[in-house]
Amino acid sequence: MNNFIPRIHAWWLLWLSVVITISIVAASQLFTQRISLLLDHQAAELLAADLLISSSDKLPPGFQQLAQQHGLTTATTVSLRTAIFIDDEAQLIELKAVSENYPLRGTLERKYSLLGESTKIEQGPQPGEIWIDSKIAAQLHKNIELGLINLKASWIISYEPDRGGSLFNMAPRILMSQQNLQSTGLLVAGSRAKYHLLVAGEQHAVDQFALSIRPLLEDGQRLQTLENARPEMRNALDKTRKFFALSIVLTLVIAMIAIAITARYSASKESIKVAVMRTFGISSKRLITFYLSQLLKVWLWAIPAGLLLGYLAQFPLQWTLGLWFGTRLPETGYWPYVVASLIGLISLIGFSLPHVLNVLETPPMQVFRQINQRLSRVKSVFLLSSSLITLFVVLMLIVNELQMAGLLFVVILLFAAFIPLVLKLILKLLMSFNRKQFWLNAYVLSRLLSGQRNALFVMSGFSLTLLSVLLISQVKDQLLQDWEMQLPQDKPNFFLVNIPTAEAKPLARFLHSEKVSTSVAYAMVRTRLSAINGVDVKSIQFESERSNHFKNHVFNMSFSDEVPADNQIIEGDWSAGGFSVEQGMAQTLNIKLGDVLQFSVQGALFEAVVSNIRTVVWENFQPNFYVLAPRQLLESQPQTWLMSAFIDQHQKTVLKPLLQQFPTVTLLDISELMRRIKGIIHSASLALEFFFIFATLSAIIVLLSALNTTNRQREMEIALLQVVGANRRQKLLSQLAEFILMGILVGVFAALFASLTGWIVGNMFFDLSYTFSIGLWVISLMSSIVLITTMGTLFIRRSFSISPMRLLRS
Amino acid sequence: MSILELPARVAVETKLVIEIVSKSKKMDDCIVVSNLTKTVQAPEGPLTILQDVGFNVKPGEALVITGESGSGKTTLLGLMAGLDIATQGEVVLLGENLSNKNEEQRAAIRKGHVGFVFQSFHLVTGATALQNVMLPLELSGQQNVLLLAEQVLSSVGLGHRLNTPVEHLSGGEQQRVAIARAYAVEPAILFADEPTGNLDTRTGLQISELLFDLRDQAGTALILVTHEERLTERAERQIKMSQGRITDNISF
Ligand SMILES: Nc1ncnc2c1ncn2[C@@H]1O[C@H](COP(=O)(O)OP(=O)(O)OP(=O)(O)O)[C@@H](O)[C@H]1O
Ligand SMILES: [Mg+2]
Repeated sequence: MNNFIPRIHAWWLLWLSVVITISIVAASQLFTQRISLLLDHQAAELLAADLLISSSDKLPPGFQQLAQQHGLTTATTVSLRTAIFIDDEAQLIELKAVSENYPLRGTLERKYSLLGESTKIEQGPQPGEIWIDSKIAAQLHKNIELGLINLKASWIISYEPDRGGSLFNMAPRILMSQQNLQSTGLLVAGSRAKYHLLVAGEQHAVDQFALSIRPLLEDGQRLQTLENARPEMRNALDKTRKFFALSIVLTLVIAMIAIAITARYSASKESIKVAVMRTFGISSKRLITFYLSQLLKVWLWAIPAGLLLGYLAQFPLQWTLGLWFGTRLPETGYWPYVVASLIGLISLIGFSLPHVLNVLETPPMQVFRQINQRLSRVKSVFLLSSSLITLFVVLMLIVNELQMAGLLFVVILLFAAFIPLVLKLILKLLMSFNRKQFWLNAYVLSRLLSGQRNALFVMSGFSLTLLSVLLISQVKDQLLQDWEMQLPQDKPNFFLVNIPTAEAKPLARFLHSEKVSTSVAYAMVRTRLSAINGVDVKSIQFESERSNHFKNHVFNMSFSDEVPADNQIIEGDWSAGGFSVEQGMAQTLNIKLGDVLQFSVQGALFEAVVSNIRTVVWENFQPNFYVLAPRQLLESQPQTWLMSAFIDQHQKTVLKPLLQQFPTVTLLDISELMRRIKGIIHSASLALEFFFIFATLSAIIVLLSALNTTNRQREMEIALLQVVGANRRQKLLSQLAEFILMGILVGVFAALFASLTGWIVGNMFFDLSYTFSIGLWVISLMSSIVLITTMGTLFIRRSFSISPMRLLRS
Repeated sequence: MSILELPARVAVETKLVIEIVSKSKKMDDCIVVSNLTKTVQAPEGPLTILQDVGFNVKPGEALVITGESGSGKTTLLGLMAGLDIATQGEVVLLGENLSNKNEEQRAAIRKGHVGFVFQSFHLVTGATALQNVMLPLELSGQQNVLLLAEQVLSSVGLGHRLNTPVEHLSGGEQQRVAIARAYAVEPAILFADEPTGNLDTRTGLQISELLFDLRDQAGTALILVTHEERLTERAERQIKMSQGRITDNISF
């Protein structure tokens, strides 16, 4: 009669672990797929399209037709620099004329007054009106003369998705309809206009179009990708995407462990039943069919529960994320559900069947006597390889990429083979220290080493589980910390640019008196890189797209007596008085310490030695510079100044007097951009909490199934201890000590490997500098000890009152 | 001292043991069973599996309990040892009435004075023969545990297999370890429920010989439940059971 209870338990746990696996896969597939689609959209917004072709001449109409033949939608923009007159003074502006469809991705935002609320709009300006930059907000609702015609400035642009380029580098933007462009008469030969063809549509069609358009491109025509979009936005997107990929795989690994362990246990429970049927002479074929049908039943019952759970889990997230991104998450189709159900079946059968086949091969008598079933070499190879194939198939289904799946497979195998081995060695070593005395240390160690306990297997599984949980939370913490650090509490939300040298100090004083916090003011000299070590940069061939960008780039160069905030010297000496070059730029252009760089400023040349290499946190929204020069080199050059400031909502009244007192200063509002980046960070952290819950749930299942199957053994041991003279305290101690020891070993292993992999992953994929944390070890140890001990004691608490009569009747 | 073990032993326990020892020495009979009845709840309703059983066991006496399967032998043994509680009647074990004691108190009475040998050995797997014998000694807080355990194992003929893990021993050898474990604390009474049931006839014979030899040496009372009539040869008394009642109480 008693035999029945654990068997039911085993099937229930197996069912539960399949449910959890299915829901993890379903939810994470649904969710990451949505997030991934969303991130694609976000990225595309940076171009206002999925793909962009730019040219300095009018683009042939064939391009647009080709795109339309591929089923893609198109839009065009023309941008050029020109001057308008404001109060009889010429002001350089960036004019952009857009076609009706613009933007294809992302939305524009505009506001009716400088301090007003922004509203989203799907379309650019209508013919006859223009939208203007906040820098020239004073012209709002006035007529502006653009070449031959006058157009009314009806809105302020508060967000332009594909603005691109450096934030404070640009002349004020004026957005207009392309239908008015011809009549301005501004588009003449030599007006140096930039023509853009924007393309958007199905990923596949876009790829096809890119393939067929590439060979048609001539000199001066360029295919643009994310590379040229906003660096701070791109970084955030990339990190988030990579991080999701990692989290989903880790969570799945935990789910797989849960299913493998419960499958193994329910199979071992089933072995007695199978052996009984064997003695009745039932054929193997019928037994396998019977067992398979049992498994299928478990699977079929698990599908609705698992899918429903997975489906529901995404709702709260979708809701919050939808709000943050201001868009609905894209729809996904049925594939996630199929994959989830399939993975449930494959792992269920793949991990269960080998054990059953093994039981069929074992003489029933051995099963009854619970003789330690030593496997033959052939059988264990078979058992192992079937589990391995299962693991690999599942990884392939999830990762969808042979190389990545292979890498993960190898890593998981290494862990799976390595941890039990090391655990065994450690236990044996500890055992050898306890030769003279059995109780309590050696007794507990012998329990863990006992074959029936499967403790090595359980501890390895649990270590891997905890490791994954730690890794997720750790990388998450680091990632968020990284971002948070870059976004300090009084993060700047305005840039003040175009400050004449004479006004730099009075402006700083003014802001200070208004209690506005600002960055240091930096001088800004517009320079171009002309030579490296005496070689003209135009004649140097660079590999990457990016280095060409540097070649043609206008550098805003500055000087500073101190290392700017968040910058770090990684090579050379700050005080040596040469150029200070940003690390990424140095890498791309292969610039080393001691190289001589030559820059030109309005035709005049100056040069100096590179004396240090510096890292810059681009996302911190402070004035950042690729190159900092010695003060004496720049001081005499034509320059303006810039600073960043944090102007609180209630401080916005300061803007008016500021613009009155310092009319040449232009104000750049970046809060919208910041809001978007913050949205991405928040959604990332939220999604991770969700994975965390699932991972922890699986970990508990792993533990429960392990406890469940050792429960009878424990009862017998406790009863035995009692008849050989142990008192209540000693009985309790025997179990507590075992759980605590397990907790310690699991905690140490998890923390050790979490730090190790955290370090590797951080360095390789996320560009994060890993810091060793005592906290991780404390959390790992505490959580594994507390979890294992409390769950264990709760689970076996009834075993303490089991009558020793059991020993007589077994 | 083990790092995992809590330091202080309960002083009360030691005192209790001393009291029992002094009492049991005064006693004539080490077990007194009177009007013992056990009723259990079966699916068909209450079922009396032991009815109105009574007898005494003298110190050092060897008592063999026989009877057909299901006659209540194991039930009786469990009640005598205080592993179970009776529905009616009482058991006085080593001078202590078990009927008004709880599980923990009954365990304290057994401690150091009662040994068990089971049909299916119940050794601590993953541990060596020596460690299995050390266990009860250490649990009762004895000194020189290693030496004592070695001596006891030698006396059951396993002096050469001290450090062998028990699962590598044969069935007969495993039962010897179990006997050594039971005798290690020099108990006043040894309970054995079909100790030869899992062994072949020859090995079974050797084991029962061993049990009686040790009884002779140590003067332990031996309560032996068995199917095999042959084992009564060296016993002082035999109790035959049928359907929960004593049908015969023969002294030799
Ligand atoms: N908890 C219980 N509930 C119901 N019936 C029980 C219970 N314990 C014992 N029995 C029944 O009591 C009877 C006596 O059992 P016991 O184990 O004492 O017999 P036994 O003489 O030791 O038999 P065997 O020689 O087969 O070991 C049996 O019929 C058994 O089924
Ligand atoms: Mg019996």
